[in-house]
Amino acid sequence: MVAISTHASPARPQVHLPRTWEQAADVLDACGPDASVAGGATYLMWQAAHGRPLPRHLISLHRIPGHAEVQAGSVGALASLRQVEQRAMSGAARALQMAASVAAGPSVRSVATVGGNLASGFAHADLVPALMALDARVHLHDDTSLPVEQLIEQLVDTRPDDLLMTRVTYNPGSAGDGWTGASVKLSRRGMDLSIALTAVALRVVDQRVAEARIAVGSLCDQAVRLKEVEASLLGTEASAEAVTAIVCDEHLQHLPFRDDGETTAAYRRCVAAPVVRRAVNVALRLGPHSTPQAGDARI
Amino acid sequence: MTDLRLNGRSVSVTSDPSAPLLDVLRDEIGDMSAKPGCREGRCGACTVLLDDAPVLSCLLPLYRAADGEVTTALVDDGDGRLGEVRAAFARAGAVQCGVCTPGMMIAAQALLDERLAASRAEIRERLVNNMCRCTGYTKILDAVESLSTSEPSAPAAEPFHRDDVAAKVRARATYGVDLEAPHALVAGLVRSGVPCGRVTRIDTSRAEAMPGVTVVTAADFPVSRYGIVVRDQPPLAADQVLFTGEPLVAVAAPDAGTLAQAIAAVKVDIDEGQGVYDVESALAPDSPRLHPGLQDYELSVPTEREGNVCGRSTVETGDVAAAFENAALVVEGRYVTPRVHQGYIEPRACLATVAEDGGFHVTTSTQNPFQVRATLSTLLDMPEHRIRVTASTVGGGFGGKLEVTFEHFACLLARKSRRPVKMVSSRAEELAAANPRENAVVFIRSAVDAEGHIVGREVDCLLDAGAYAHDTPFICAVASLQGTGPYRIDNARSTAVAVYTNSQPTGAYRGPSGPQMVLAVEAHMDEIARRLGVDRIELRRRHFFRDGDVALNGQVIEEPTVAECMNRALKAIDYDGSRASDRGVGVACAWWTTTGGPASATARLESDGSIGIVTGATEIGSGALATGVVHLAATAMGVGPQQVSLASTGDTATSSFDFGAQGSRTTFNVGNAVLRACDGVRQQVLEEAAHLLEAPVDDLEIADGSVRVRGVADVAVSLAEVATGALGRTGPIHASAPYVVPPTDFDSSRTGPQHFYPTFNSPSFHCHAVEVEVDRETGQVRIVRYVAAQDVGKALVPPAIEGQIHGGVLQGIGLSLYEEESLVDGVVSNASLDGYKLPTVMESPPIDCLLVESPSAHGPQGAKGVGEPPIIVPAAALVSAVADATGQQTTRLPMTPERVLQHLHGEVTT
Repeated sequence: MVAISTHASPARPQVHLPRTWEQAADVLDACGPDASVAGGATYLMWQAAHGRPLPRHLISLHRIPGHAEVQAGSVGALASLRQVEQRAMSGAARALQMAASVAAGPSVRSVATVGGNLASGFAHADLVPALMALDARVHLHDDTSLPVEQLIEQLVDTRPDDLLMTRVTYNPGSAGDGWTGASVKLSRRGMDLSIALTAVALRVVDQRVAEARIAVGSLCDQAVRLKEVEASLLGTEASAEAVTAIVCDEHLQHLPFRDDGETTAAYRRCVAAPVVRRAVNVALRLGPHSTPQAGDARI
Repeated sequence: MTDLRLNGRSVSVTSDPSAPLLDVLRDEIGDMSAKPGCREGRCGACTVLLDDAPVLSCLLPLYRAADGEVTTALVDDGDGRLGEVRAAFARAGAVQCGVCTPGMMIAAQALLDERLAASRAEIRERLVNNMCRCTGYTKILDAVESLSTSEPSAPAAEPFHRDDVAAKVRARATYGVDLEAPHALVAGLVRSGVPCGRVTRIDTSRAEAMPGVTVVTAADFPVSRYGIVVRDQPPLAADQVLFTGEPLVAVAAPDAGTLAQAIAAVKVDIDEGQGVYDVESALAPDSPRLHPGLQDYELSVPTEREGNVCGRSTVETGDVAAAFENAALVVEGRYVTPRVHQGYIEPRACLATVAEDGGFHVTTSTQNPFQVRATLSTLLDMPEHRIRVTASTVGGGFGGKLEVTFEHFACLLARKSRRPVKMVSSRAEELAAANPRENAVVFIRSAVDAEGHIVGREVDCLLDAGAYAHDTPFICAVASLQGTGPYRIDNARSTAVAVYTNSQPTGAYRGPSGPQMVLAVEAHMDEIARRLGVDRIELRRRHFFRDGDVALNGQVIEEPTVAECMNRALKAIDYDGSRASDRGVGVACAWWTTTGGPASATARLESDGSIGIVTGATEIGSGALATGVVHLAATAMGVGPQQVSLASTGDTATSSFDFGAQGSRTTFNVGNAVLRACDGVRQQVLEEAAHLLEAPVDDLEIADGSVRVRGVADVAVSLAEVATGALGRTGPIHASAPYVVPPTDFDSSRTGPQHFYPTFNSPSFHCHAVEVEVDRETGQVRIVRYVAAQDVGKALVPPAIEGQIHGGVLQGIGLSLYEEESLVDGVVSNASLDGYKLPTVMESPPIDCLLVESPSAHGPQGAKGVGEPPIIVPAAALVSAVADATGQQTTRLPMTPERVLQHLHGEVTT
């Protein structure tokens, strides 16, 4: 390469606007690998803005009615991140609300969808760790479903555009049962991609951790559950001091930390345990019922 | 065909359904309110509402927009809250260059519509998608908060007048990116993909064969090289390339798609060579020479050149060798600062048309139309009078829009194609191939006597010029004056060197060389204090300039206010208060210049009694003209600022020469010209009023928009009546005046005879104090509060000055904590606003502005330059604060969390 141009003008795709899942599936079948499925299309457009070619066929799902609901235990794949952010959530589900509140910026969250965030395969997709911590399942248009962790695994090998997600169901971890949750993001600037995002769902009984589900995103190429940390927390006192004593570097050093434009793997290795500790502590501080305030979801 | 609901109306458009709404709005509908600041979903200047939600129109495909109601900042005030937001922005001083304003207002409206009781923290969260480079966000937050029903944390701002604010809050100002002309072509550049090499082939035949495509190569230019100091830069590379991104071929086409194809059709072969990528390697005797023919190049002005050095400035006084020989203590330091971009939200843009006489009219987003004209004259081999350069509204400049950028390409393409030609830089081009601030390495060394006095100083500042000298030799001169800071050191040598490397040419950025030199001097002061075991404040007080002291260059210092600035800053930051162990306070001091340079202005009394100002100076958003000069004219003419308008600015065809919006000079120099012009107008007004009132001139006074007889009630005539009367008797009332500041005395034996910038005119003094909290686990630095005490001479319009301080301080914070063009073998590896981290509203701390008044003998009403100083001090103050909190002094910027952690862990790399 001896010459560069910064005046890329991407070839325009043929846009398909199906009104049913069946129509969407038909178009996807017909167009095969030349097609991409979009919810809000923010990720596709962002990639195009950075020089990636647009697909030859773009199948936008936004005109398919329904599937944009945000309910306890269920989120439509076509719900915007803004809808999720605006829905008051308590208990463990608050982890989802808090993750949505710090994903990208508010003007992106208006359009970006839950399904798009999940299907992007993007290491910095902030909803993924939250949904992992909520034991979420992804439901596809053919009435099949799979755990979100399995989906994320599959995205390594499978073109995400093959997936027509309709909704995501999750264990809401009700406040009444002692569940609390939080997501906490570490980034360079307010709207930057995450360096790390930790999502936590905890059930506290008699001031002790009875159940724990913790996942981290952006530390590695894929979000991961931290089962070793989860196990270590069980039965411990639900206090910042106890958490600080328990969650240590050794729990996380085996992770394949990511090197990217935001920071280095070495830095991520340094901050991994602190970010997890703080997310757990935010969840404990908020308790089952509190409403997070501006800044609670950020380090 | 797609149907769109826009601002309450239905519109049918033919754009591709997947096209970004931004392009549809601007290119097809003609709604220019959404601005293409980055086109990558980061800056937010393109924000519009889709239904009630803010969206980035650069990331929103048309088909998606068509399913909702789109609202832009051009919508009428009748519907919704935008009218209130516009008024609040104007009232609070939330508008400077204004290019971010439409998007920012839209985001604010969406927030307030959704949550009227938003707290300041919530406002920050909701404006985080919208970047502003001018204001530092403080007054934007004030404006939005003033409309919120939550508990106000700031008192309501006193309204102040800004001449250009109405057009900006109504999204009607025309920026360079908004320029249009019938049948205009769009143009772009084929650029080198390697940092160093020999060009073996440029084949433009396929591109030229494309319908409507025009191509310009080096052979089309009548000159082979140009440059402000050293004529070392070819307008287009022909034989060799010296940096990645160097222009090789300019191409124009009817539309962006064809342009992209045409650029891709140009074939270039380059044999890659061995480059040199850092200043210290470039100075090695065996380093490859970027310009083997350097000695044969013509010079625009004399400069030292040898090897890879294209400029050197030294200032020296006393016996430096003896001072070090006799020193009780010698302290050394090395400070490294990054290459940083000016970060203007509006990319550089211009429109060139061929005039009827074969000359050119270029409208461009420039800070300095006369300099652009002069360089175009050289590049096009055409007399200046046949080239008209008009400044558009400028969406931020900060030094990055002082020189020709691609106006010369647009002119030749326009001549060849016989069509107007528009060029707009992409954000990637801005970051990878514009003229950012020099990365620098500063070595500093001091000799200290047994009593703890600094008796000797040596400074060597290496400024990375990049592949071509551009204006870096000038910047060396400014750097060389700062080696001793605002301190008296009797034996000192301060040298700054401009060094070629295979990277984009660097250049001026607000306070050129200031942040680098102030960091080195002030961090070094802290280090000396630490080594001596004395308080850092006490060490500074020992050495501060005192009235009548002689500075390094031989300039006599008159009434320095640096001690007063420091005292006020220390008190405001509660320097002696107790703090948590993870907190620290930093303090840094500096002095700075008010650049001179010729200016001129015409003042005229309009028939409605208002005052019109015509000047070749350019309002780039700072308010230097729109508030400072307007205030001066209003005061001089006895009218309110609303009665003064900037009738014409920044146009080489309608006004006399001005040295450009640079060096904190506009209010000072243009203001003086305006005051002199107003003197002429006043005299004509009094003479006409004397005729109308049948009273002696000496008995008259001008006040409150009329002329009246002193002490006699109701005997008066309005300025409008005076203007009308004069039209029929002596002709229109107007006067013009030039201004050039008297030279400041200095000792040329200290500076040498060819020093570009031997003195600091009307110097100002500064102290910044900052309290930080360092997160020892993540390395993050949080600014708790920031205090800037600044000697402004005379505070003409305090809210406007505060806006300059807020913006400059945040830019300084940016280069201290966030911003860095990451250079890998000379290539900028983070050429997007994702990777290049301009501060957002979330990174904007509370900033207290303390305006210290110490009138300048020559300043208009005593005013000094205020625009640049706020950026030069924050790096030093923050390094000091982080060191106070951690016990470790950082010597390399930016202080990223990773670098701070490395310091804390003892893993420092330099």
